[in-house]
Amino acid sequence: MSIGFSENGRPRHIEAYLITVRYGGWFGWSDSKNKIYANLIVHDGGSKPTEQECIDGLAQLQTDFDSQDYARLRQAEYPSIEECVHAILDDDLEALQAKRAEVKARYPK
Amino acid sequence: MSSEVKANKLSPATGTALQISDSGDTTTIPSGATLDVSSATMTGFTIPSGQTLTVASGATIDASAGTATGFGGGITEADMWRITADQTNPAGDITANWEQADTDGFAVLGSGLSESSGIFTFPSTGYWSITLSGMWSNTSADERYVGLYLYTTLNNADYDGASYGLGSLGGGTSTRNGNTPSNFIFDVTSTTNCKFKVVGYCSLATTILQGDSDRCETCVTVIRLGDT
Repeated sequence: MSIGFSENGRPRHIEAYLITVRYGGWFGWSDSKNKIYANLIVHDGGSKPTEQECIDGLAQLQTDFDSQDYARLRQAEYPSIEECVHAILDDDLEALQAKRAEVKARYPK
Repeated sequence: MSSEVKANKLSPATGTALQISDSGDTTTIPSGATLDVSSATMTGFTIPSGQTLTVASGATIDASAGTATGFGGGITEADMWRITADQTNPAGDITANWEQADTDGFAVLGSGLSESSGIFTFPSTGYWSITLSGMWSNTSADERYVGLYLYTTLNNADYDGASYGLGSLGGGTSTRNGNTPSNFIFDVTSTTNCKFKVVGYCSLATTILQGDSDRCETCVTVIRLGDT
């Protein structure tokens, strides 16, 4: 992953917020080795977010990401599509639903 | 009339110069004989037109202490460029944030390319190998297609798609990653007219074309293969 995100996809740098402001390569860095707000430059002639907007925007992205932890954990442990197909063909949906319920209980919202 | 001179050494009668035969004469080292100059210095050596200089098996041409010119086939130019920041949903030319690689041991070979607003210019004519690599991610959804394309021009005006790399992102529970490589060999007959640019597309507004200044994520590698 680039500087914007951690390995697990969690936003960690204001670049993760900046790419949500406008599409394309609208922003850059006057010193790309030192990506701090003071070095933020705008290529497209549009407005430049304030530093506080960047801070708040990154924090909101992190909050949104963290709020979906349960979903990511559930998805990783839910039965696969193949298991679902087999359960249907084998008329074993109760066991499948029990497994899903157990996963949901383990990772509540 | 022929004659034979038998001697163990020929030395100049005066001075230090010794001449063998005259202009227009042919001096022959016959088959089976050896002219051993391994301890000497040869100057002004020319292979006559129509003749062949053979390097025998096990022999070596060593020009490490000198300058060898006019040999074809050597790699004289190699360069890498990358974008330094992420961007979402690229929809056309990648015009900003290009930099020449400058970390982790990279060094340009030769003069290198120049870049202006996403247009790349070659330093010399020749056959150039261009490798384009796009690194993509999406943290929220599966992506049907991502594409990074190489467009070339032969007249410094009209661009056409020369090489396409397409892919899709999926299979993950958080971040989906993918790469879109493509290659092209460009016969650059004019450094003024033959140029290229990079174009990116994807289907989702949340898809990211990744860039970084510390490593090559989305990057272009160019190597000059030889003369045009």
